[in-house]
Amino acid sequence: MPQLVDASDCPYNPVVDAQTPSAGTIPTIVVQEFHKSYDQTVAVQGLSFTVSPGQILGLLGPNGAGKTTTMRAICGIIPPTHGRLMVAGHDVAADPVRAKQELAYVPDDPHLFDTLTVWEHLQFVAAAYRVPNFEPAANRLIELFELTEKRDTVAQELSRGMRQKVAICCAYIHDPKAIVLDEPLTGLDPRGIRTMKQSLRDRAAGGAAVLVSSHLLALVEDLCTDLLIVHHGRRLFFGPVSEARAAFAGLDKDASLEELFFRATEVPPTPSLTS
Amino acid sequence: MNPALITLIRLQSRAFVRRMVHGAASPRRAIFLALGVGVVVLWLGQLLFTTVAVRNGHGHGRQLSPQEFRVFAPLGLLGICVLTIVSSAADKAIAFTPGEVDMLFPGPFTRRQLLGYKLLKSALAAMITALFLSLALLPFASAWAACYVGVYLTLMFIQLFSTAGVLVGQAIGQRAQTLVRRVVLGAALLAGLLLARNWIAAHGGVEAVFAFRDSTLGEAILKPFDAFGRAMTAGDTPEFVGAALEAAAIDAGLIAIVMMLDANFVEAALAASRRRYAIMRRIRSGTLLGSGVMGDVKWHLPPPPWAGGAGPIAWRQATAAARSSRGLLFLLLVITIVLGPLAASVVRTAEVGQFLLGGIVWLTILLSQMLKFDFRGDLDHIDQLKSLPLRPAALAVGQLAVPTLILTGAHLLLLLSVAVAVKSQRQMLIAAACLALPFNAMLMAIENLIFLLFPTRPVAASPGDFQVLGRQVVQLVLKAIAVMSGCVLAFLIAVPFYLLAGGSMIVLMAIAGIVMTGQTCALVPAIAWAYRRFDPSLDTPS
Repeated sequence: MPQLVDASDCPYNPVVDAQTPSAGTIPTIVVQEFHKSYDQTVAVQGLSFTVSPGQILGLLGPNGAGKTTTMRAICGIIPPTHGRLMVAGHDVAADPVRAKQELAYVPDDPHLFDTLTVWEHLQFVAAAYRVPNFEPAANRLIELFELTEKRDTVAQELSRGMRQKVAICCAYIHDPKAIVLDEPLTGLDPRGIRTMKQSLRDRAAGGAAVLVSSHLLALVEDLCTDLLIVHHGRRLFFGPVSEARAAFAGLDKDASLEELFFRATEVPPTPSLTS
Repeated sequence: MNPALITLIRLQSRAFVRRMVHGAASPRRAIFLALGVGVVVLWLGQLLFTTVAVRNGHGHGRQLSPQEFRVFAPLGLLGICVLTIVSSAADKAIAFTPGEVDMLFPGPFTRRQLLGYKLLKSALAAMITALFLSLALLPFASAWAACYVGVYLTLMFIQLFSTAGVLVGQAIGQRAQTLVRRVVLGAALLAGLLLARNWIAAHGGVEAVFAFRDSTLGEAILKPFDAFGRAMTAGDTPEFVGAALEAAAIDAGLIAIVMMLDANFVEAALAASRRRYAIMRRIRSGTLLGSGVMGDVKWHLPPPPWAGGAGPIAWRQATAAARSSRGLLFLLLVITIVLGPLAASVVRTAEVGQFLLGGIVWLTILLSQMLKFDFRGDLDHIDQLKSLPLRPAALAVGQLAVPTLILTGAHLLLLLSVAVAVKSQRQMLIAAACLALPFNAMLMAIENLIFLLFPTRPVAASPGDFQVLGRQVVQLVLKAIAVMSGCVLAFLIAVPFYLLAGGSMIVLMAIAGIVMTGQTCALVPAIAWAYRRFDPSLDTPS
């Protein structure tokens, strides 16, 4: 039988369970009742949330919570067992090509094509997404992420951080409406982190919906407008960062995100929450 | 040895068994396991049958008796040792896996403990390998148990000799840093080579080996190897005990030497582990023959046409192929230079067809496994491919294009080489050329379809890993059946046209080619379906 957490285990006040995004427009990413199971194991159970243009949603959860599974399903990489996933109005299962056309995904450990150069990666992605006259944008991106000197270097010669930067440049080249990033700061140097964070803010300000998964709570606190906390494949909280502390009993308004995270994912259910 | 390392070996052994047993949990893996066991049982059965038949005097041909085997065994063992030294000359390092490097090297273990761990692992693996080898060598032995122990001690000797050779090499390397020492070392090596050359010149090729065996020096050198052959072929218990103890003492002596040397092998092993991992990755991505693209690249293929989405995929694969094709071009050049003139000089005109067929089959099998510029080489990129806004069918066509074209190029080169050298059978060669592209497209389509349905990675299989063997057998059989069916169908349809055209080979091949093209077109949706159903979280093999 599937192993699930009981819904009553969630130390979350349903009254504050906001479905409405902070930006208040038509959502770019819509996840409705998403389930994913493997044989006897349930990875994600009935997850629903939205990400709207301008919104940066931080996806938090312990290891094995179902974060990467959710992101890969949104990107059409793995099929959902049940549920509906939409990107920019296109159903990922029914109309995957149009959905993916509006989407960019950076996995936690991007595997580049070993024999292609940095520039050729951009050239390939631009061709796949049918980006006309991609060169100016590509040049801007490799300059922004300090890859100009590595333009003609093959991927297998790049360091972990540089490969991450190439993957990010590839994600941005077609101006996606939805950006999905799994641990985007892994391997980046301080300047790269700053550039990355600013670029995400700029993209969001330009109308992109951003979904970021990270264990770096400081990043999430600094960058995200909204939070989605998942545990054992179920949603514990979804709503604006400003409302997160109020959602959990026993947390004062100045509590850090770390306190909030541990409160949400580790505290056993109390009678006041489950009654 | 450190108890933690013994625990690690115990856990790894348990994991090996668990993988075998748990692997049979799914129907697909159970079939692989059953087939692997079946193949091994058949092979062993055939060996035992041959042994029994030979002993009862029903065998065909003459086989070595235990006494004759005993004469040749020391020479064979010496040959293996020399080969080990020569082959490891460029790679003086003890083999550690990347996992061992990352987990054990920074751990609280001494170099000797790590060596002990490596030797104990080899000793355990040799137990399984000896089981199979002893059965294979049974026709030359008097008793299986003696043969098993003899083979086991021999395998250990080879392993220990290789390790000792590596460590001695490193120790000499560390001590031979001064110019004078290097000169002395080089002079000694040169003197040895000159002596060997003079010996061979004086006695002739094979005779030199036998003369060496009968010389005083040869007897002295071969003496330590003699015990292993005697242990394998011992006729009675006292002889076996004596020979086995002698062989075990030699192994123990080598263990002592290895432990005493205590050379600083860690750095070399680290570098070698990285090199081996890189080679494994290149095998997996199908760029084994590649030149190992390094640094900056000065040239690029022109931008791809869209071609419904297939263009960018084919362009990427073509770039990868072009970057790593130096070895492949060399191979094709050798084929061109060798096979054409060989066909002209060795084969009679009437047999050119057979020769050509053999050459094409060999080339096809060889290259189709090397040219993984398709889904087979993209196993680690399936996530990226799936996130692209491309239709699966277009993506499939893009993936098939490059290996198909390279293989076709190789076939045409071979045909051209034979045509230039033989100067006859032109019609047959043109007919074969007509068929090259459609056949290769069909072959690659089948390869990729089977891969997506039964995805595998090239792995360094451990001895006794029946599941890997079974999987390889299943895939080989499936491919052979599919390709044969496709060819039979194509020729069944083409034969009436061939007869109508008055026996024209070109018509036969052209019609067969059209049918094969149709089959490839029919396979593309099947590949697209298999790609769609490929769930990276479930189907990606470890």
